[in-house]
Amino acid sequence: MQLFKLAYRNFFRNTRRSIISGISVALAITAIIFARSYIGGILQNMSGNVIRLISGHITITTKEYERRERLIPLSESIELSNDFYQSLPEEDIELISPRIKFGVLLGEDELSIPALGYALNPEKERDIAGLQKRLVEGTYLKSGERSAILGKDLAERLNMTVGDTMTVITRTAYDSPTGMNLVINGTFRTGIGGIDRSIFYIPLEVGQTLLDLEGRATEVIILVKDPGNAIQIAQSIRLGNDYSIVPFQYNNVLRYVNLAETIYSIFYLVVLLVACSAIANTMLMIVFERTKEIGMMKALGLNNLSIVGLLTIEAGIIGLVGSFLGTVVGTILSYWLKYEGIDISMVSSTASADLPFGPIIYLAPTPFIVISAFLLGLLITIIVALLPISRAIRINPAKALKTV
Amino acid sequence: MKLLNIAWRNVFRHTRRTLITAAAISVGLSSMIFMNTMMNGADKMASRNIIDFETGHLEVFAKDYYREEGVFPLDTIIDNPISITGNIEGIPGIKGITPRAKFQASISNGVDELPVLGMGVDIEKDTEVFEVANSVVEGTYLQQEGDLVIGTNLAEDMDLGVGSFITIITKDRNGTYNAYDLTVSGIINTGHPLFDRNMAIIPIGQAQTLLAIGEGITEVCIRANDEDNLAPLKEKISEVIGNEYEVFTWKEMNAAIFEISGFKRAGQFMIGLVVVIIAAVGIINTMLMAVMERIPEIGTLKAMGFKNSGIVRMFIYEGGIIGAFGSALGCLVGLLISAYLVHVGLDFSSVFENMDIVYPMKFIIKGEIDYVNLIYVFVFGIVVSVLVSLWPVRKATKLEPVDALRHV
Amino acid sequence: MKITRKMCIVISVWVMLLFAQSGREILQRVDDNTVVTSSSYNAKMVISLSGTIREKRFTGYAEGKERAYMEFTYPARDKGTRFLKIEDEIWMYLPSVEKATKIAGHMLRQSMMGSDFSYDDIVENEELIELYDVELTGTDSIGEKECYVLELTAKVLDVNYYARKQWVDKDDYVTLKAELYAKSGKLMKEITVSEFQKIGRYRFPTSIRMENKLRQNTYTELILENIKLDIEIPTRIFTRAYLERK
Repeated sequence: MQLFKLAYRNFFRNTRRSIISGISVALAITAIIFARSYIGGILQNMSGNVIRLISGHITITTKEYERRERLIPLSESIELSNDFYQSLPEEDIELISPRIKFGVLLGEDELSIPALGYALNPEKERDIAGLQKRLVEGTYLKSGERSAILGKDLAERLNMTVGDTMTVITRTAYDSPTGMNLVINGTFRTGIGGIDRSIFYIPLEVGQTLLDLEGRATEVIILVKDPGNAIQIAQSIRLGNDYSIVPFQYNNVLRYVNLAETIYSIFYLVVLLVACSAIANTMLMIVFERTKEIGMMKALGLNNLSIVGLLTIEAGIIGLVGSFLGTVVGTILSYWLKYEGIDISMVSSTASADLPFGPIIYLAPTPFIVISAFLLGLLITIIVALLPISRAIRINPAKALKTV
Repeated sequence: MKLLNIAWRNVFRHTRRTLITAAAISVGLSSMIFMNTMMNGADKMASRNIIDFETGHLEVFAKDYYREEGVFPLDTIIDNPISITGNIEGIPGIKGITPRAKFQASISNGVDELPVLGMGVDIEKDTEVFEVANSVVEGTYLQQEGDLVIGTNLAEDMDLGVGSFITIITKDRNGTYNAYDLTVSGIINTGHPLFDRNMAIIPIGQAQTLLAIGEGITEVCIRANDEDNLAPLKEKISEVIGNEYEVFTWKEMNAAIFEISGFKRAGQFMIGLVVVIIAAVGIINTMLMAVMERIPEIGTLKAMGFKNSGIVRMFIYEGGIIGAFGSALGCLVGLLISAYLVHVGLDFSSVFENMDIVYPMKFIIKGEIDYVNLIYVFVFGIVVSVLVSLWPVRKATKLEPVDALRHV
Repeated sequence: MKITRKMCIVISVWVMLLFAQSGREILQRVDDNTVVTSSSYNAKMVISLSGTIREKRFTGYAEGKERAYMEFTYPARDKGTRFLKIEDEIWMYLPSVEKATKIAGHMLRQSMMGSDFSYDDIVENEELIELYDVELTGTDSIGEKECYVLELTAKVLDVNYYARKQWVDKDDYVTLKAELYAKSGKLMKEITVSEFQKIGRYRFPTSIRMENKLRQNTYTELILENIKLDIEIPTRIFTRAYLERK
C-alpha cells in the first residue's frame, strides 16, 4: 500500500517526466487504434465491394455453371420457381436477387470490345449493388425498360454517352445469335478498374428476353441478415445435388481481399513495433534517469523487491494514464472518421474531379480494437519497463549517488 | 572546434543515454525504410510481371505492327529477323534478346473451345530474357515440337494436366485454317494473369509453320543490364534497326498500368505517415528526456562562464552526432532488411493454401530499395534529433544558472 | 497388220489413258452439276449436341456461289433472323436490333446458329476447281455407290481448308463425302451427302451432314426441300435494304 502511495506521489512529483512518457504512450496507442481502424476500413471497403457487386453473402448457381464458369455457360440456368424460393430460409434472409451474367462484344463498327453484362433487378439491387449511388451521369435503370448503365470507362472506350443507343450482340442460352438496342441511361464509377472498364447492367427481364432465359437466372445472390452466419445458412439450404451454394467467405474473388489483409497485417506489425519502441525508449530513459534516485532509495534501506514493485507500479500508472489518454483520443478520432471518412483522392494520383461517390475510406473501429489497444498499451509499458527495472536493482548505491 | 570536441566526448561519456537514444532513432528509421522498400516492391509487382514475362525491357516490332491493344495481326510482322537481331546483339548494355511470335488462336480439349493468345518462343533464348521457364510448377518446360505450356488457370478451366492432349486452332497468315494436336508438357504459375489464364506457349518453329510465316516473328524482346536507364539504349537500338522497325520500352507499352488503384496508394500513404509520426515521436521523447536531464549541467556550464550560444551549439552538435549515429545505424539495419526483401522477398502464397483451388496464386512481394528515400530518411533522423534538442536547450539557457541546477 | 498381243495391250492402255478422266475433269463435272446459277429452297437444320436435338428452319435464295440470302422461320426464337452473303462478306440481321451487323474477322470462325457450320463455311466463294489442285487417287465405295477418290490441295493462298478429300459418285458426279483438313493435316470437318435430287442437268444435294471434328458428339444435318433452280430472283433480295426490311 505504501508503495502505491509512493508511486502515486512520484508520478506527480516529476510532472515533466510523467507527461512526456505519458504522451508517448498515448500517441503510440492512438496510432495503433487509428492504424487498425484504417486498415479495417480499407478491407471492409474492398470486401464490401466484392459482396455487393459480385457475390452477395451467398451465391447460388448450378454445379456445372460453377465448374465451367470461365465459359459463362448460359445453358446452365436456374429456374426461378416457387419451389426454388421456398427452399430458401425466410427468417435469415434479407434479400434474394437473381442475376444473369453474359459476355458480349461491343463496338461501333467492329464488334471488337469484349464486355460483361449483368441483368439484375434494379429495385432490389439498389441496396445490394448500390449502383444508383455510384452514378456519375444520367439516371438509374428502370425495370422493364430496354436501358443500360455502363461503367464510365467502358462508355469512354465505346465513345458513347448518356442518351446514346448501344447495340448488344451475343448468343442466347440456345446458341442462337441475339441482339438488342439499349438506351444508355447512365454511367457509373465504382473505383474498381476492372468493373468500370468492362461492365454494364441491364434490367433482369430485359436480359431474360435477350438471352431466351424467361423465368430463369444464372445465379442467385442472397443477402443475409447476419453475415457472420452466412456459412451456416448456406449449409442449411437444401436444393439438391445439382446446385452450388457458396457463402462469401469461400468466394474466389474474396481471397484477394485476404491477401490484402495479410499484407496490411505486416504494415500493422511495423506500426506496432515502432509504437512499442517509442514506449520502450521512454521507459528506459525514465529508469536510467533515476539511477541516482534509485541509489538513494537503496541507501535508505528499501529492499530490492520494494524497488521493483515501486518502479513497476509507476510504470503501470504511466501505462494506465497514457493508454487511457491514447485510447480516448484514438477512439474519438477513429469514430469521427468512421462517419466522416478520409478522402484519399487528395493523396492519390489518380484522383478524378467527377467522383460523386469517391474513394472515401470509412474507418472501421470496433470495441475489440479499442479495448485491446488499451490493454496493449498498459501491458507493453509494464513489460518493457521490466528490463531496465531489473537492471536498476543491481545498482550500487554508492556508485549511483555519484552519477550526474 | 573546442565545442565539437566537448560535444563528441560528452556523447561517449554517457554511453547508456546515447545508446538508448540512438536505438530509438534507428528503430524508427529502419521501420520507415522497411515500409518504403516493401511498398515500392508491392507497387512494382505489376511492373515486374510485365518485364519478366510479357515484354522484357524493350521490344522491337515491324513498323505498324503495334497499333491496337489486343490485336495480333499477321501481315505486319518481322519477316526477316536475322537482318536486325545480329545488329541488336552487338549493342553494349544488352543482357539478352529473344524472338517471339504471338497469334490469336483457340484451344480445344474436345469438349470446349477457348480463345487463347498463342505464343511461339525460342526454347533456349527465351530464358535469357524472361522468367517463364522458371515458373513451371508441374511437368517440364518446352522441349520439342508438339509440347505446349499453359498457365494454371487455363489448365483448371479446361480440365487439363501434364500429358493432356489438346488441339490448337488458328488461321494462318493467308486465312487458311491450321490446327495441331499438342500435348501439355508443363504448367506455369507466374502471377501474371494473362499468362496464367490465356496463354498457350509452343516452340517458335512450330508456331511459324502453323502460321505459314516462314522465318517471320512478331517481335524481338530485349533485356537490358540497367533497368532504370533504358532511354539511351532505346535510341541506339532505334538507330540500328532502321526505319522499317520500331522499338518501345516496357513503360511506353503499358501506360495504363500506372493507373494504380487510388486505394492502394492512399492506403500505403496513410500507414506510412503513421509510421513516420510514431518514429518521430519515439525520437522526440527520447531526445527530449536526454536533454531534460542535463539541464542542471547547462546550469553548471553557464556558471562556468559558457555563453548561451556556445551551450546551444554544443547541444546541437551532440544532437547531431547522436542523430547521425542513430541514423546511420537505422539506415544500415534498414538496408539489411531491405536487401533480404529484395533478394528473397515475402512469400504470401501460403495465404492461398487453404483455399479450394488446385493451384494457389503465386504471390511473392520483393522489395525495391529507393536510395533517394534512404537519404531523406537519414537526414530526417538527424534533423529531428537536432531540432528536438534545440528547443529545451534554448529555454534552459535562458534560466538562471541557479534555477537550472535545481532542475530535476 | 498383224495385231499382236503386245499391240493390244499398248492400244488398250492408250485408249484408257485417252478416255480416262483426270481428277480435274471429275471435279469440273462435280462443279458443273452442283453449282447452279440460281436457286431457292426451304431448309431444315437439325443440330445435335451431345444427344440434345434442336431443329431450325429457314428459306433461302442463292445465285451461283456469290450471293445468298437466308431467313429463319422456325423456331419462334430464331424467326426473323436473316443472313446476306455477297461475295466474301456476310451480314446478319436480328429483328430485335433492326440494323444489320457485319460478321467479320475472327467472328467468321464461329458456328452459325450453334451448328457445325461456321460462317466462313457459308462464305467460301469460289468453285473448288479454282481453289484446288486435284488428283485422282483411287476408288472407294460408300454404301452401294462406287466413288472416285480425289485429293485436293490448295493452289491459292486464301482458302479455308488447305486440303480436302472428296468421294465423288461415279454415276452421278456428286460429292458424297468430303473431309476437310487443316494445313497440318488435321481433320477438321467431315461432310456427308446422303441424298440428292436430279433437277434438269443438276444434281442438287438435299440431305447434307456436317460434323465438326474438333468438337465431340456433335453433328448438323441440313435437309433441303422445295428446290427451284434457274429461277429469276429479283436483285433486290440480295441487298442490305432487303435484309433490314421491316
